[in-house]
Amino acid sequence: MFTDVQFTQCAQEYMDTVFRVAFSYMKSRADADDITQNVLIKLYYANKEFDGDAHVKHWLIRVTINECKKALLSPWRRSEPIEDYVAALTFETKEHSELFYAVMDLPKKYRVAVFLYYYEDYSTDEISQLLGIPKATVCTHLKRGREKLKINLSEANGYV
Amino acid sequence: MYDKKIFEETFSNLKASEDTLSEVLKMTTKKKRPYKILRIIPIAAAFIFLFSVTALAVAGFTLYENPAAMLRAFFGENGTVKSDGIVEYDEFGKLDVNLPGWERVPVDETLADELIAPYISGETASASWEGYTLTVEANLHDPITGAGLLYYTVENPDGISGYEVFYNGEFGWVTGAGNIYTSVKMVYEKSYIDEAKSTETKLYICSYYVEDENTEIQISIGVQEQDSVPIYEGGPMGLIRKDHENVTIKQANGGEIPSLSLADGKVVVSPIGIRIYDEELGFDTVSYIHYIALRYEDGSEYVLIDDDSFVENRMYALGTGLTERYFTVMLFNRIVDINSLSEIVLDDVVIKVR
Repeated sequence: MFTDVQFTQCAQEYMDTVFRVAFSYMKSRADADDITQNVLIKLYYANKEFDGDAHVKHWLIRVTINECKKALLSPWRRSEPIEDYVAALTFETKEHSELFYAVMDLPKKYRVAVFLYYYEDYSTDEISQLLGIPKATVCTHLKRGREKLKINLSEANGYV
Repeated sequence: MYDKKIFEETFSNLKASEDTLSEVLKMTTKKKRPYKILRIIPIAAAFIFLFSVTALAVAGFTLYENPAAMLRAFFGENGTVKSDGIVEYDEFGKLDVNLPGWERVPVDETLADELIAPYISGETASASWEGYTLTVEANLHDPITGAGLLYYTVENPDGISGYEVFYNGEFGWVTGAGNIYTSVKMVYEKSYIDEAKSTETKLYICSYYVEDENTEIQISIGVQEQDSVPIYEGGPMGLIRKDHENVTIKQANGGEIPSLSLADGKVVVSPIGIRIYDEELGFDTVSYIHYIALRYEDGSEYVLIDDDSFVENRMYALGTGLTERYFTVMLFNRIVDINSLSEIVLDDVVIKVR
């Protein structure tokens, strides 16, 4: 169980992680910010005992994904052009921005699996637990996601 | 295939808004945290409610008259092929495919007739799109666990193309402009082909789904089109799915499919699926349950999941926190005789069925 100071430290450490997962799911900065807030509030009120940093992170991502699923069913979901958000980001090279667009162009189920696998470095077993779907489905999503990403990137700039 | 460093650099750019933390702290100071209540689950004193096995006459329900083929595809040897498990690595040595083994067993027709067939709704809804016709054959929804089975066909006299069947048997339409697709809206589902009945001009599709909020299911058929503008300057064209036809079916069953409620309702099992309120049973919803078995009075057992033995005999699972209560729903790959169950094992917790 966290003290208020520990909670603040934990929130500072993981809020960007939560935001990235939420953004990879929602493709909307406003939605991802709202979800990040909700998830951190859930963490505060959860009064949960954690076994360590990995456990906290895992729990936060699981809750984030559930919040995203809930948000997708909401009629109040906001739609915003991804270009507006990209304009506020600073990518080092064209290669970076093309990769970002290519990943964001993937269907949601592939995008989230690819993000968790390649950025968060989770295994297919762990992604299966996080998303609450069978490992077979995770593998299929990763395989299809990789294939489509390859096509998107080669169409963009031959970067594969 | 991808440069890990570039992937990390790219997505490190994404950061929560600067005022996120201050907003959260403002909200948390307004309301105190509740005291944690320790729950003790009285597993040994599990209560059972056995619902009537007799199908009731329900308005809007039409019995699916010949369900044998459907049941063989969903739960029998006509479904996805048996596998001892598949492990593959990508070119960099990273684990790429990691599929536990699964098995298929023939349908017990007596059991099917008794426990499932009376509740399958025969459907006739149909929609057409550019030579393709989608027809819903049957639907079975268990409102207690949320598990459901949707059986529908896609037909084109000129032949059907643009779909894939993956090594685990999962079915999907190929994404691409001009390609046909079907989708089941507002439910979580996975689809497979009834290989015994499907032909080059007609596919029989078995969709295992989880749904417990809506009383209707909408199925769409349409074509994927190329957007008129690229997704970004110099980038690929996007795909949109704006044109399609829908069919809607109501969840009408021939009465409530029989089910068992155990451990004060924290585990509910029906012949087609199981719902587990994992958090309330004391399981961590993060590390999850690694072994689930349904044991019968005759000593046999159905191992649903066994991580240590690399076995996974479920067709679809959904873990959700969409409601106030966390739960997981899993659909079986065989019909479970709930009248002959003796116990359900969830890791080291044994729930006796009395």
